[in-house]
Amino acid sequence: MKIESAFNEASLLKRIAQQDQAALAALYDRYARILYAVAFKSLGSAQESEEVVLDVFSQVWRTAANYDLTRSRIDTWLFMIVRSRTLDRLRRLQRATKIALASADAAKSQPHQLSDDPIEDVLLSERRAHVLTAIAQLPEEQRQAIELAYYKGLTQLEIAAQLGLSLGTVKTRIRLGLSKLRIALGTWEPS
Amino acid sequence: MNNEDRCFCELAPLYALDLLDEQDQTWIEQQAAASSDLATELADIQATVGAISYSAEPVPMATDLKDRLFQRLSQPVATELVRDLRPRQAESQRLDRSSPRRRNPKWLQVGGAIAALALIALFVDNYRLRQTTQETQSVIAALQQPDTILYTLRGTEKATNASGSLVVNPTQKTLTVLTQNLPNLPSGQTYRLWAMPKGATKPSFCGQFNSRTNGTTSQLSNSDAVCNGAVSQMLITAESATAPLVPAGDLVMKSVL
Repeated sequence: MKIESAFNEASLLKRIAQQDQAALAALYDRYARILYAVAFKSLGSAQESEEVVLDVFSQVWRTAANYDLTRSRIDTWLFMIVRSRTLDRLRRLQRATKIALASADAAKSQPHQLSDDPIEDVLLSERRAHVLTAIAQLPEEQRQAIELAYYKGLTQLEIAAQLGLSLGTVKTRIRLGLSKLRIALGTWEPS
Repeated sequence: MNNEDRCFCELAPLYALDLLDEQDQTWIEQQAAASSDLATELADIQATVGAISYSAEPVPMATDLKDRLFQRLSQPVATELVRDLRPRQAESQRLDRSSPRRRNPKWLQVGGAIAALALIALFVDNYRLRQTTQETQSVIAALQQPDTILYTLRGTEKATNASGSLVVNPTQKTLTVLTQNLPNLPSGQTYRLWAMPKGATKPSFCGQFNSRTNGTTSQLSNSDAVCNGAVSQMLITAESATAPLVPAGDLVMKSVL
């Protein structure tokens, strides 16, 4: 069942470029939780993840006027920003020894916060289910290599060292995995 | 790896995951810039990578985060303007791991503070920049970042009255170009920004923009580590908008010490 989006994202971005706070709030309501989840998966810290989300939407607010939606979808753009900010913080945290990280287990034991919009919840859940189904089709070794790169920000050499593989094997697994993922997601186009 | 050994189809997925070194990144970007099919291919791969985000498990999020976002956006910038303009080492980036990190030289730190004050004066005195609140906030926000790199731009003999500044934010991978008295270009032409690292034989493309004589602020996004680092010189040329990403037009502005 395909759920129609509540609003046109291109129009939303145009309004944000005109400093429409209601439009930014709408974009936040749609994507903040998933961006937070991405950051938290890498950082394991509520405080750091919150800062990442604030950084992402602050950047959107500042640069929306210059972004060309023909270049990529808005969710792709947001995910690129959140990953970049997250990995920057992750590397900084790895260097710093005095930063205390919140317990990931404690966070997961709390009930999930629902948005105010049930349609948005269904939309997000549908997307998530589709992606999880696609990822589940990947061989475990391909999924593992991709997730080490995506969520942990490891280099090819680091992935090879961690998995005890050659550099060539890592490259091949990532390339094949993304190719399979791309095919599996190929019929999916978010509204 | 030279061009003959490279294959777009093999490198593009690695590019999308930020797993390539600087040279291979630049090669991918050049290939995508030169071919709309490859650009579409790359965008599709990047969308696939981005979709991985949907697999992250939902976790509880602070209910006041949205309020904090709008509080941050409404913060007065006057007290933030010239706070700590000394550039610090840029945060570790994946592509910089193989290259030695450089500290900004003293001249850039001093020049950065002076240029920032001149930049603020430009904002105060220029009626058009005062009106474009978004552009002003964007630049001031960039100046707030501790690792910001600042260049003063001066016109060449092709644009003797042109002046400006370039604000580089390595963390956000953005470059903000502020220019005045840069001539309007005819339709089909554009200004292109290039970074020339020390010892390099050719400049790296950092973005393109159009300018108005009475002042322009343009923000460019570029993930190229060369464009986001401190280089020996930044250059602006006037080019055909559809020309390949190789400097061929008139040099109109360059950064000065």
